[in-house]
This record gives sequence, structure tokens and C-alpha cells, in this order.
Amino acid sequence: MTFTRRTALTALAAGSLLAVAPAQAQTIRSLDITVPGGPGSGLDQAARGIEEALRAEGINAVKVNNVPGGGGMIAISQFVTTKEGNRNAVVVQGAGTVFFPLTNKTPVTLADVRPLARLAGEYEVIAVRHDSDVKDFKDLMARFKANPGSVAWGGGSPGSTENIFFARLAKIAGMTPKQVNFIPHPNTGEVVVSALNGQATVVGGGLQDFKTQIEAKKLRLLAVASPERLPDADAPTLRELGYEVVFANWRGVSVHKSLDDKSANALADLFAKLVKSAHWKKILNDRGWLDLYLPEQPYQAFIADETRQAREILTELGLATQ
Amino acid sequence: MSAHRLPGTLFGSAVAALGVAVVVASQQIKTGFTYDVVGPAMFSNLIGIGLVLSGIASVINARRASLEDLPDQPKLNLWPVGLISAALLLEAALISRLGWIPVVATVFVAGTYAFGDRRILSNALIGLVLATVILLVFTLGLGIDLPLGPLEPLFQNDQ
Amino acid sequence: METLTLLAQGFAVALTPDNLIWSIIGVTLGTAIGVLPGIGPATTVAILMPLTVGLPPVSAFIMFAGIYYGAQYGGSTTSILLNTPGEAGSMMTAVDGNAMARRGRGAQALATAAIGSFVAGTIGTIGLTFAAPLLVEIALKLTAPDYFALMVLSLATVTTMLSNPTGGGSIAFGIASLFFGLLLGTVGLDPQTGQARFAFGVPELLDGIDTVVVAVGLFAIGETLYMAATDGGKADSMHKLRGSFWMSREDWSRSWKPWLRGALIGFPIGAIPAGGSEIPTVLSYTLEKKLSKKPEEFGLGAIEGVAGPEAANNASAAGALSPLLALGLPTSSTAAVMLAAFQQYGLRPGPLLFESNSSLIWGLIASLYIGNVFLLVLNLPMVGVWVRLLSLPKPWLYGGILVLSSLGVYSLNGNAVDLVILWIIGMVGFVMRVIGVPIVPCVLGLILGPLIEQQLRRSLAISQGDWTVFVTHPVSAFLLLVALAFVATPIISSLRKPKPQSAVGMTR
Repeated sequence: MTFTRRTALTALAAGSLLAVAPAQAQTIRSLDITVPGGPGSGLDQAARGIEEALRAEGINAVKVNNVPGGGGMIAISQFVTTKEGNRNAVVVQGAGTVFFPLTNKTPVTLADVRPLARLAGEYEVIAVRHDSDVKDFKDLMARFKANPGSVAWGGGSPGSTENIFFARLAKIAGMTPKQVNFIPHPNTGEVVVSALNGQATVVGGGLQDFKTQIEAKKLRLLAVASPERLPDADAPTLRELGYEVVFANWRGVSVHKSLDDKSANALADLFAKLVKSAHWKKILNDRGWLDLYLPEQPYQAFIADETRQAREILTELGLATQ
Repeated sequence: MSAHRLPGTLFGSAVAALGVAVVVASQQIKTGFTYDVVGPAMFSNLIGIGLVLSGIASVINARRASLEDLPDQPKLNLWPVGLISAALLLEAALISRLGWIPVVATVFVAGTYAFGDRRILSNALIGLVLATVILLVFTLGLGIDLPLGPLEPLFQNDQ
Repeated sequence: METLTLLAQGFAVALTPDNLIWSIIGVTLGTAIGVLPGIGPATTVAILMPLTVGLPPVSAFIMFAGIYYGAQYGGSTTSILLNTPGEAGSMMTAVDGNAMARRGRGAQALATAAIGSFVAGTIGTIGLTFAAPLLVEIALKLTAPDYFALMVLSLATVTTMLSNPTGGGSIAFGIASLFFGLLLGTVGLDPQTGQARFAFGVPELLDGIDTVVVAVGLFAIGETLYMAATDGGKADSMHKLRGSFWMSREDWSRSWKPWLRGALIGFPIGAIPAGGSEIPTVLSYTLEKKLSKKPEEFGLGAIEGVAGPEAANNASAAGALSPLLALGLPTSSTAAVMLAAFQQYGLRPGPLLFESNSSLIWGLIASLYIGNVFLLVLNLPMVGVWVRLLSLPKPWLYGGILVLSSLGVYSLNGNAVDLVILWIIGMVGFVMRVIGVPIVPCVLGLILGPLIEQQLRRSLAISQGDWTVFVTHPVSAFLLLVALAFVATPIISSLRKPKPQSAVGMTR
């Protein structure tokens, strides 16, 4: 984890001058990544992944800034104010960054930056304690329909990923989002605990969150929210089960709105090349992430669609602002 | 009302007033979530009520207290408090613009001055050295970025 | 026993010269960073993690173990000497520890903290070795109502801390302090519904007010302001060392039982998910006060008030490793950072890791024992050095405290709003000192309030509104009864005692 600032300070301390790389037309030689999360958070890991892959491609001048807090909005706000015209700056975001402003009035939202590319992520999965008497997904939904309050759905923050995910399942099953007894948790560790001590009937999250427990036969997968079956998960997709839901915890990058198309495209090309690189694929493999690459136009359409669907659900839940 | 009762009475009144403000603000909090029978407003209402009650109790206690109950109130010299406060607030306002070193050195000088040490220049020097050491250790050694202020552009790496 | 064989193998791994050196480095760095106010074990481990990149996994983890325990040790130093707890787990240590320092007994306070940490760390590590999986099984039987009751109990023990030991406060002041802390705890997003409370549209407040900012503000800044207002003019030094350096026989005899009791409280609660380190230290402090023959000394420098909580703190750190190693579940922020460290190496702690990579895990556990010893060896002699720090002239000492407090707070999130909150809370702390309002209830309210609220609402959501859950769950019912006893006894005893002053008051 080296920072160019650190290298530079060392140079200064040694009394030498810092050489500035000659400007080259549209080749990106350095990257400044703003992360709306602290070290170790999901978005931070994505940024580190990008950093690693770029270094393997020979681009060493990568700087990662963690700006945690405010649901990611502090980072976005800082990005908007300080990175104007910066052709080498991107900000990472994820599903949570889209959902957060829908439930809280914030001075900025994702609409204040220009989404450039979706990169990777994980599909949501649904799991129960291994010895739970919920036999399978059909059984789960049957119980839910019979007595909605009796099924406790464990997930992350209120108004965020799992909250919306479960609500969509409910709607497809013909119920209303408000009938979902959602039990929020501040982090995935607590979600797993709630599954293991039985207080949550079922839990949702990324496959990586539950992998250790699944391998140790403490948790059992009921279904996955991916378009096709996942290679390392022995569970049917929701599509197979008749529920048309594909839901991912995705990560992507955005650039400043002030950039002209040429500069933005240069960055877009950088990422398009990155996701094809062998090193990136290795990182995805190691971390259990999936390649979810989307270039600018489809990415922006995707975000718009997600926002619309989430807003509907959050309004039905009574959590939306405005 | 004699002077020794004043602090307690003021305190109690302030607390009670805060409590009322809290209860009023709590009315804005949305409720009505299906399974969350308690809701986000209940606790803040309870806290508001608790503040009001303990504020009132404090006032009552203060009025009832006799002179012997109270500890000796030392004489308070408020200008050092003001000096340190000003330094801390300046720090908050200027730290990202001026950077860590000058701002923290100022805080150090303010602190020493407030405690009676009038050697501003030598303390400023100590403060600068201390702040610089911390900056180097943290930014170089530990990777925690402390703000560089006007020196920032020197270390940007863009084209 | 198989465990002993595995442990022996672990020692074989840990006792190689290379790994011993990594252990020493880890321990030293951990203590050094942990000493800084506002920088607690989680931040320390996170900061130092990059330094281990490139090391073979075993050595890296041995260094981590050293850092982990070292950071716990370091926190007590600033609490005792500078009244600046680095994290909530060191807060109770600051109460009596700093009082002892003021009376010239800083060396004894540091010594009892160091030795107590060693004893508790060893007990905790033994617990980890033999009981971790079993303890975790038991811990997983606890559910939301039980957690609620445990936290209510912790809060109820605040009743023993409501009156200001230096006199001149009424219980009403203590309760006001508590409710103020509870109020600070509600600032931010509501954990159950995500609704913003008391954030006034400031995004930085959406994440709530950090415990560290409040602890540093009330303890360190508040004190600095108070000292500036009362002694400001005199540029002399304080805390002159009185008498000997070493712990007297009486100190030892008053310390050893709190060490053991603290460890026994700390380890299991640390192992419980959501147990944390604040609850064991508060419970230990209260227990020691109740059991002491001189309860009135508490708050003024009772050595038990340092011995117990410090032991509880360290034992809970060991305890928190149990769910991490046994199940791969991080139950504290420090454990979460350790988990990230494991993942950096592509390892997944959990029952499978015990089997597949047992030399690593047992090497880690063995190095915890070793690290503990190194810490004692390192810290005891340092006591003399640290205490000299107190003989710095006040201007420099408090100037330094202001600088370190700024560092600790700013390095949390890198935003200046935290510094403003620090000042506001510092002013509140100053006023509280002037009037005689106790500070500890405020911080406890801040920490425990949100936890209590979340567990309450979670319990009721799962039970679908059924309030009897708290009584039908046996653990919950038991803990709530104990809590009730805590709250009721002072009330009952004050009702029984005739009030001597009431006659005077009435005729005024």
C-alpha cells in the first residue's frame, strides 16, 4: 500500500526534486482513486484491486484516498469540489452509494458525478442455518406467505441492498414490502451470528460473506440471485425457481462531470483494458468476485434503472425521503 | 439566590431546556414501521423526558443545598479557556487549507501560552518540530495521510 | 491431550529466532502506537498491517499477535497518565488510574495495569487454547433479548457511579450526564430503520458521534480547559512522584484478586458476539467497588479500580479472538481488522483453518503467550520512563495533550467536523468539571444507549411485538433481575436511612 505522496515526501526529505512526467496526449499514466469507505470496506477492497491490477500493467502512480462516512456522500462531495478538471481522478461506488441518498437527504448524490464503468461484484445469495427446518426456497416463501411476520430476514443496513432485495422477492410472491420482517445489522459478522443463533430465519448477503460457514457446514444456501448458477455455489438461481430477480452488490467507477468526452473516453479505455487483463481476472478469482463489466452508456442506464426500482420499493417501505 | 447555588441551577435549567428541545425535535422523526413496534422516536422522546426530569431535579437539589455541601469552588480564569478554544476552532477551520504542521503548531503554542509559558517563539519552534515529526511518522511510516495544505499541489501526480 | 500437543507444536513454530524477533517488533510497535490517545487497538492494527506485507504468513501473524496485545497495553498508559483514554475499553482505567497519578502514584497504577494485563492476557490465552470452540457454541445460544439484558445490566451498574466522588454532586447530576450521553448516542442514523436523527443535515453527523471523540473531549480536553482555568498561571509541573516507584505489599494484595476476577469477567464477555470491551470493564469496575472494603476510595485512586478493568480489557481482547479463530466471525472492530489481515493472505479463519493450517493457528496462539511475556518485560521497566513524562512542566504537557488529542481525533476520519465536535464536547467536559457533574455516565450512555436500543427493537421485531420475550429467555430474565437489584438497592437504602438534613431544609 504505497502512496505517491509517501514516495514524494521521501524524495523531498532526501533533498531531491520531484520530476513531473511529461504530459502525453490521451494515455493515462496515473490514477487518483477516491474511496467512499474506510480501509477494509467493500469499496476500499475494490479500489485496492484496481490498484493492484494497474501496477501489474505497469501503471505505478496510483493513489487511493479513503474518505469514509456519510453513506459515501462525504467522499462524493469532496470529489466534486476538489477534482474538477482532473483527468486522472475517479471515484469508486457501489450499490449502497446509489441507495443511500434515497433514504437520507444529502447535499450531493451519485447524480453529481459521471458514471463511467461497472467493474465487478457479487450476486446476492440467501442462506439458512444448516439444521434449519426451512427445507428450501419454496418452503421459505410458503412460510412467508402463510405468516409473514414469522420469517425474520437478516441483512445489512436498513434501506440498503438486502432490504431492497428481500422486498423485491416479496413483491414477486404477491406480498407487499412492508410485510417483510427485515432485521438490519451493522456488519456482515453480525448477520452471520444472527443466522447461527437462529434469531434470523434466513439471511442475505454476498457469497463471500458466508463462504466459510457454508464450507464448515454451518450455513446452507437456499438460492442465488444470479443470471446463471454460480460455479462454487450449489444452489438454484432465483430465476430457476420462478422469481425473476437478479441482484448484485456491484462496484463501479465514475469521473468528474467537468471532463470533456476525450478525457472521459481515455479513462473508459483504461478500464476496458483493465478488465480484460490477466491480472484483473486473477484478482477476481482470488477474491471470489465476478466480472460485471459494463461500459458507460449501459452502466448509466443500469444505475437509472436500479434507482427507479429502489425508489419504488423504498417509498412503499416508508423509508424514502422527498 | 446566592452565588453557590447558581451553577447548579443554571446547569439544571440548561439540561431541562435541552430535554424540551429534544422532545420537540423527536416529533419530526418518522414512525409507523410494521414490525418495529418501538420505532425510532420512542427512545429520543424518553431521553428528552429524562433530560427534563433530571434537569428539574438538579435545580431542586441546587436550591436545597446548603453552603457546606458544595465543594470549594476554585476561582475560574476564563481567558485561557477562550484562547485554547479559539486555537481548536481555528484548527478545525484551517487544517485542510493550511495543512497539519502550522495549524497544530499553533494549537501547541496556544496551549503553552494558556498555561503561563510566555516563550512564544521557542514554543512555536517546539510545536513545529513536534508537528513535523508526527507528520513524517504518520504519512511516511504509517500511510495515514495528514493534510499538507498549500504544499499539496507539489505532490499531485497528474498530467 | 491433543490440544497440548498442538500447542507444543505451535510453540516450536513461534520460538524460532526469526519469529521471536517479529514478536518483539510487533509488541513494541503495538504499544508505541497504542499509547497515542484516540488511537485504539483497531486503528493500531489497521495502521500497522501494511508493514507485514511480504512476510511469510506465520511471521506476519506472529507480529499481528504482538501488535494486537501491545495495542491493548499502550492504551492504558495514556489513560492513566494523561487522562486520555485511547478507546472505550481504557476509559474505566482512566478514572481511578489518573486519580492515582495525580496523587503521585502513577507508577503503581501503570504497574498494576501492566501486571494485570499480563495475568489476564495469559488467562485469556489459556481460555482461547482450550475453550474457544466450546465457548463459542455456548455464546451462539444467546440471542437478542439476552444481549439486551446484558447491556441493560451494564447501564444499571452506572448507578454506582452517579455521584461525584470529590463531592458536591447530586445523583440528579449523574443522571443528567447519563441522559446527555444517551442523547449523543442517538445522533446519526437509526440502526433499525436508517432514519436520520439529530443530524441537522450535516453528512458527517449521519455516522453518529464517535466514542473516541467524546472520550477524548470529555476526559482530555475538558481537563485541559479546567486546568487552564484554575491553575493556568503557574507553570509548574504536576504529579510529582511520591515515595517509591514500586508496588507496595498492600498494592499487591489489593490487586491480585481484581486481576483474576477481571480476567474471568472479560474473557467470556469478549467471546460473546457484540460483547465488546466496554461492558467487561464497566462490570469489573462495579464489581470491585461492591466487593471493596473501602468503596469510598473509588474515583479517588483505588488500585482495584485499575487492576480489575485493565485485566478485564485484556482478557476480553483474548476472548474476542475466540469467535474469530473458531468460526471466522469477527466480533469487534479489532477482530475485523485481523480478519482482513487473514484474508490478505488468502486465509479464511474458521473450523476448517484449524484443520488445514493448524501450524499457523497454533503458532499464532503460542505467540500470544510469548507476546504477553515480552509485553510485561518491555512495559514494566518503561513505567519509570513514562512517569517522568508527568514531571514535564504543565504548559508543555498540556500543549502536547492538545496536539495528541487532535491527532487521535483527526486520524479517525480525516474530517474537521470531528475537531469541532471535540471542542464542543471539551467545553461540556469543562463545565461538567466546574459544576461537579460526573463524566463517566455520559460516555457510558453514549456507548450503551444505541446498543440497548438496537437489541430491544431487534428482539421485539423478531418476536413480533411480544414483550414477554425478555422474561421467557432465562439468561435475559436473570440479567434483568440483577440489573433491577442494582438500581433498586440504592433507592431502598436511601429510603430507609433517616435524612439528617431534611429537618433543617424544611425550616428554611
